[in-house]
Amino acid sequence: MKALRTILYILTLVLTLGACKEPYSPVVKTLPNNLLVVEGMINTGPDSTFIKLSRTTLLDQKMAVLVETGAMVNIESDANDSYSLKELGSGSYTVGPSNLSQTKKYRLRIKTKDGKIYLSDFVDTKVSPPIDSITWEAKQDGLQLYSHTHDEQNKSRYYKWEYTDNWEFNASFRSTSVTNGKEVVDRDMTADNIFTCWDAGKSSTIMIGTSARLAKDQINKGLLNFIPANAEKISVKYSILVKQQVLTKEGFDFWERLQKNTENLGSIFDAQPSQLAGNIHNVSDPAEPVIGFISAGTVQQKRIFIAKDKLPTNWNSTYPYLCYQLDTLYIVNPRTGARDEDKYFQTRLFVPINPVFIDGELKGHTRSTKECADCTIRGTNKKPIFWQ
Amino acid sequence: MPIAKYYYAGSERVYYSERNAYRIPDYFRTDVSFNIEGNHKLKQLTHGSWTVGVYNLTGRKNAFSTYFAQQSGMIKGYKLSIFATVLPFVNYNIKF
Repeated sequence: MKALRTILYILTLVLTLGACKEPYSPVVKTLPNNLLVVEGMINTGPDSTFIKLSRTTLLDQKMAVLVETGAMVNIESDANDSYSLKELGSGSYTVGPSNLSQTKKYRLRIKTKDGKIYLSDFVDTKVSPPIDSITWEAKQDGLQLYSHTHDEQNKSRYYKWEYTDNWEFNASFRSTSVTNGKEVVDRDMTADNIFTCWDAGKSSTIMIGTSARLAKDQINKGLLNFIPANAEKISVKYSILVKQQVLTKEGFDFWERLQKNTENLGSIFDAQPSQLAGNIHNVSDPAEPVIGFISAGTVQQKRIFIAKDKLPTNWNSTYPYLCYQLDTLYIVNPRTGARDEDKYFQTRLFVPINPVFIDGELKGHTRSTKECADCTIRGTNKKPIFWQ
Repeated sequence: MPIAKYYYAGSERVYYSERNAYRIPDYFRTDVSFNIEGNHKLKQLTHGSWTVGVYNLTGRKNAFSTYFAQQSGMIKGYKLSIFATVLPFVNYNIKF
């Protein structure tokens, strides 16, 4: 028995010593380490067209985005019209509404800084039907938003949604006092509000839906985003602006594959990643991979607001910082005689919250940290113009 | 295999090569062993012999598998080797 234990011990030792993990950087030989990435759509409606150009980077590079500047970008139609886009900086190119036709086909011509010319395939213009409604449902653990739309003429079929969202939120404590550098005075609660703020975000996942398998061209409950019940986004009031675009079959296939490749991987039942083929090509070297799919069409949008009082009452948002109970700082500490407020408020180490009176006399103020009393460190205290 | 990354539709995404476009690192191993025979008596019921040897004489760290994992927002490649060292062994064979 003892011998067996020794053998087992040695075996385990050998196995643990024997197996080892080492960093492995495969040599990417076929160069594609800075492929052109083209993002955006040709807007044939009354809105501007935005195209973003960037480059792929190697996996172990820290850099977030490598933007492509100094390119010449043009929209071309199959009737030989051409519209040039203006560079906005940081890889963005734009042109205002240019009276594009809804019946012509369009493509994008890109001439990069290094002289290479890229062309997208001609694409049909897809006019988006209006969004019928944006609805939401309170699920067990959060809020699920849906988009609903339909096309009487059965011509749309493939839909894609994007959104920008804004939300109102509050600091943990409402500060009614402020320091002017010398002493603590009453705060102007409208001009110098640090309790109520707004923050904004935008979609980061691919949201697509199709009615191709249905008799009627109708999307009921197209999945938008999900917000966890304890998110700060829905702690006061939340607003979402959904933008809807109609895709061609090829465009839909591209986005669906991109979604499968980059969002639904990881578990063993998921699909194998596959190569992504867009509709943009290098004119002189058609074999060069270019990432992106250019579509053309109009965009429809709709905004809704969701106030906290419409949500289940047992949903409480988690404040992102730990906030302790308020304690008091004296103007002159009665025990040590030190000028505590000068040390902590006038130097802005702490934020004064409320005045503290003892026997009708102002003796000090309650204090908290910036994280707990000042919402402007995470958002803006300027109300968005569309806010209701 | 993931070969590059890019930013698209609001997130960082990974670009994959075509299938079977890459191979895992070469596998190379040397095993050496010696048989030590005992006697050759005819009347014996069983004949035993010892084998002594080593696997992977050069101690090469052969890749058993390679994989990619996300770590603090970066995708890193790893190769895993099992018995990445010289491994001695002893056998006793019985013939009957």
